[in-house]
Amino acid sequence: MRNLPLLFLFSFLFVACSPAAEPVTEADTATKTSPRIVSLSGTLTELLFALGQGDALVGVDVTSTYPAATAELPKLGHVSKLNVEALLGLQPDLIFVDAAVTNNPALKTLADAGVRVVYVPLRPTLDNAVQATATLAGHLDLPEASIATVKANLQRDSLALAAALQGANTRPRVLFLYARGAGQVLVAGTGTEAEAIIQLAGGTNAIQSFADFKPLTPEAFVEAAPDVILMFSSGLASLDGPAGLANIPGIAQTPAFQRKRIVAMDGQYLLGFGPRAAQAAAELAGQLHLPDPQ
Amino acid sequence: MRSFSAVFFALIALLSLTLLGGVFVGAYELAPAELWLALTGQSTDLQQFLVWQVRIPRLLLALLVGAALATTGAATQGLFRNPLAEPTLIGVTSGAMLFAAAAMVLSFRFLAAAPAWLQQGAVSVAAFCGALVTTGLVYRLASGRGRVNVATMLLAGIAIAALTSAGTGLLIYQSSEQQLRDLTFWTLGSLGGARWGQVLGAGPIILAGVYFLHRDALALNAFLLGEREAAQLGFRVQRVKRRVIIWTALVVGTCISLTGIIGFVGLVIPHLLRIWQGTDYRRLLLFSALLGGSFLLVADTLARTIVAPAELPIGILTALVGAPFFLWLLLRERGKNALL
Amino acid sequence: MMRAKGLSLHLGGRAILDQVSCTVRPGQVTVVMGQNGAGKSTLLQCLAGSVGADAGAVEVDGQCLAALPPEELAAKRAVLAQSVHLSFPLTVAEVIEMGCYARYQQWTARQRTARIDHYLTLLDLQPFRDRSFPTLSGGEQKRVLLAKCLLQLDADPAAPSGNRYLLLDEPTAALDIGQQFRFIDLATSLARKRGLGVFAVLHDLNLAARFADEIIFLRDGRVLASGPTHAILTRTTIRDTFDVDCLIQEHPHYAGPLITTLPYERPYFAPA
Repeated sequence: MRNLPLLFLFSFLFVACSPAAEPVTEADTATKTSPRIVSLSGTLTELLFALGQGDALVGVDVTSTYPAATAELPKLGHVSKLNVEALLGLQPDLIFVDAAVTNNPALKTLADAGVRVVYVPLRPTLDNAVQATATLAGHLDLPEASIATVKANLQRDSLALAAALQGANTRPRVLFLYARGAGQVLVAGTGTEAEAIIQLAGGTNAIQSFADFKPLTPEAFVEAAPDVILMFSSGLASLDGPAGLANIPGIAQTPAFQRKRIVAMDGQYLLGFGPRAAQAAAELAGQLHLPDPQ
Repeated sequence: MRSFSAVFFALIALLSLTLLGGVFVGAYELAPAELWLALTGQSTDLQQFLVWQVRIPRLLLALLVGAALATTGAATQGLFRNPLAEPTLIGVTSGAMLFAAAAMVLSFRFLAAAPAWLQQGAVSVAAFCGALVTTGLVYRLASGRGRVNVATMLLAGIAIAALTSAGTGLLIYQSSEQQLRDLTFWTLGSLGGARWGQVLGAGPIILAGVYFLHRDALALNAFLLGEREAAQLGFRVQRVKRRVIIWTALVVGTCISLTGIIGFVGLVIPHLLRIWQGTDYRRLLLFSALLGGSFLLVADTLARTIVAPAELPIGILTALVGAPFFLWLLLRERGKNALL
Repeated sequence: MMRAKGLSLHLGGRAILDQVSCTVRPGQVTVVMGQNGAGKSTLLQCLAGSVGADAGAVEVDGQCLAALPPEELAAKRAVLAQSVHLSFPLTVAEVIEMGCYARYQQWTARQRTARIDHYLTLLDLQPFRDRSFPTLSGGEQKRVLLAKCLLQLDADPAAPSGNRYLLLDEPTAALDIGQQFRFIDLATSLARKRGLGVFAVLHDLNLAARFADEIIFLRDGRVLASGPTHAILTRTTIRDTFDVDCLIQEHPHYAGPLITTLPYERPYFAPA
C-alpha cells in the first residue's frame, strides 16, 4: 500500500523506456489492433457478435450462451461472483456489463486496475438492441455503419412480427413460469421482461396482482386462468416435459394445460432483448395466435 | 503431547508456507521470476496491481478471517461448555444475515440518492450492525440481576435466530432475481472483494480480539469445570462472559461484514486442535488462530484457482473439506476417547 | 475462623436456610449432616461465597466474606465440588494447575510445575500426570480435585496469608465403600497437617463419627443440634434429624462410637 506510488513510478519509467508496449497501454496508443473484450451479459455478447466483434471477445459470463461460438470462450461464472485475478489474466481492455449491476466490488477493483468497465443500459424493448449496439460501437470506436446490419435485421423481424399480429383479434392471457424443478416454481408478475415480450407478442400477462417473480398458490393458478403457459426450454426440461407440469398443483386445472397450449423457448432468445428480440417476439406471437383447433 | 514451542513453530511454518504458496498460485499465472519482478515493483502495471492490490490483500484477509473464526469458535465452545457452539449461537450470524439482506433488498429504495461509497459499504455496515444488535439483544434477554445465564443465552440465541431468519425469508420473498442471487452468494461467503482498505480496517479489530480472548484463556479453562467452579477459583465470571461475548461479536461481525458467511472453520479447527493438542485454552486459542488462518488461506487459494477463470464460493469448500475431515476425526477418536 | 451468622435464604417461597449459624475452626473438621434437601449444600455454597443469603452474613477471620474480591477469596477457601463434568477433556496436571490460577502471575512456570509435581506425588497421582481427567475412576478424580484445592490453598512462603478453609461438598458421593473411608481419611489428615479448617457435607454417620470434630445437624433449613462429635452424636439427634432409630455401640477397634441405623421405627434391637 505504501509503496504504491513508488510502484507506479517504477512501472511508468519501465514503460517509458521499454520499446515493447504493455497490453494495458496498447489500447490507448494503438487503436488499430482490436481491443480485448470481456462481456458479462448474454445480451451484450450476442450484440458484440452481431457487430462482428466476436473474435475480440476473450471471456464471457455464464449467461452468454449464444451464438455457439461462445462455448469456445473462457467462462467467467456469474457476474456476482467474479474472479478478479482470472479476469485480469485475460488482460481485457474493455469489460461490458449490464448497467443493472451495481455495487460490484470485483468490477470496482478491475476499474482500479485500469480496465475500462462500461455499464451498458439494457431495456426490455425491441429497439434496445439498436441503442445498446450503438453504445457498444461508440466505445469500440466503430463507424456508424457497423450497426446497420443489426438495424436491418431488427426491422425485417419487426415486419414479420407485425404480420404475425395482423389477423389476431384477441389478446391471450399468458402465464410465464420460471421453473427449476417442481419444488421451485415462480411466476412473472408485472414489470418483468417476460411481461414485456408477452405484450410485444400480442398477449397479456395473466398475472396483474404483483410485480417481479413470486411463487403462486394452486388456487391462484386456477384464478389466473391462462390461455397459454410460457416457459424456458430449460425450465420445462427441469419438470421432465409437459407431462411433469401436471405435478404442480393447480396447473392441470388451467385452460392452457387442458388445451395443451404450453410454449417453451430458449431463455436468452426469449428474454435477452438482443438482436433477435423481434424474431423471438414474432415466433411467440405465432405460437400465441394459433388457430384454435376447436 | 509435544511441547508448546515445537507446535507453535510448526504452525508458524505451516502458515508461512501456505502464505507463500498463495502468493505463487493464482488464476493469473506468473512465473517465479515474473512474480519477483512484480513484488519488487519492476514489472508491468498490470502484474504489480495483480500481486499487490489483488492477491496479497486477499491472502491477508483470508488469514485474518480464518484466525478470527477459529479463535472465536474455540472461545464460544468454552463459554457455552458445548462442543457444537459457534458464534452463530449468540445471534451474530443470523443478525448479520438479516441486516445484510435488508441492505441488499431495500437499499435501492432508500439509498438510491446516497453517495456511491455509502451504497457500496451499505451491506458491510449493515451486517456489522446486525451482528452487534442481535448479540446485544440475546445478551440482554439472558441477563438478569447482574448475571448472564449461558443456558438462557443459548436458547435466546436460537429463538432470535429463528426470528431473524423469518425476517430474512420475508426479504428474500421481496427480492428480485438479482438480489436473491447476491444474497445466496453472500451466505456462501467470498473473499473476492478483498482490498487493502478492508485488511487495514479488519486487521486491528481481529488481532485485538484474538489477543484479548487469549488473555482470558485461564478463565476459559476454569469455565470447563463450570461457572461456579470458575468463580471459586478466583475469576470474575460475569466480566469474563461479557468480554468474551463482546469480542466475539465484534470480531465475527467484522468478518461477516467483509466476507459473508463462512461456515465450519470455527467448528473444525478448534476440535482438530483439541484432539491433537488437548483443550488447554492457553494453547488452543493461539493455535486455533494460526491453524485457522492457514486453513482458510488454503481453502481460498483453492476457491480462486480450481474452477478458474470462474470462482467457487469459499463456504462450499470449507464445508466440503471440513465436514468429512471432521467426521473422520470423530470416528477415529470414538474408540480412544469416549468424551470428545 | 469462618463463621456464619443467622443465614436465611428463601427460594420460591420456601425457606432453604432459616437462621443458620455455624463455625469452622482452623485445623478442625466440621461436618454437616441432614436429610436430602435439608440445606446442607446450600449452606456450604453460602460459606464459599457462591450463593448469597437473604439475611445474615459470613465472616472470614473477621472480614465480611461478600466484601472480599474473588482473587483474595480464592486464596482463603477452596471448594471440592460434588461432581465435576468436564465439557472438554483436560489432563490431570492441567486440572490441578487450575488451583493456582488466582495467582498465576505471581509464580514462574517453573514454580508452578514444581508445586503441581509436589501435589501429584503427595496424592499418589504421578502415574496419571498426563492422563485425560475424564478417563480416571471416581476415586482418582476426587484425588485430583483435592490436589487442585490443596494447591489453591498452598501457603505462599513469602506472605503467609492467615487461615485457610477447605469446603467438601459430599466428597464421598459416587465412591465405593473402601474409597469413601480412604478419601475422607486422606483429605482430613492433609488438612489438619496444614492447619486448614474443613467444612464437609457427609451422609455416613460412622465417617462423621470417625473424622469430625464438630457436627451440625440440619433439618428443613434449621440447625437442630450442633456441637462436639462425642457429645452431639446421640440416638435422639439422629432420630430427630433422619427419622431413623439407631444403635450406638462402642467401636470394637477405635475409640469412638459405632452406629447402626434401623431404618424403621420399630426397633429390631432392644436398646441396651
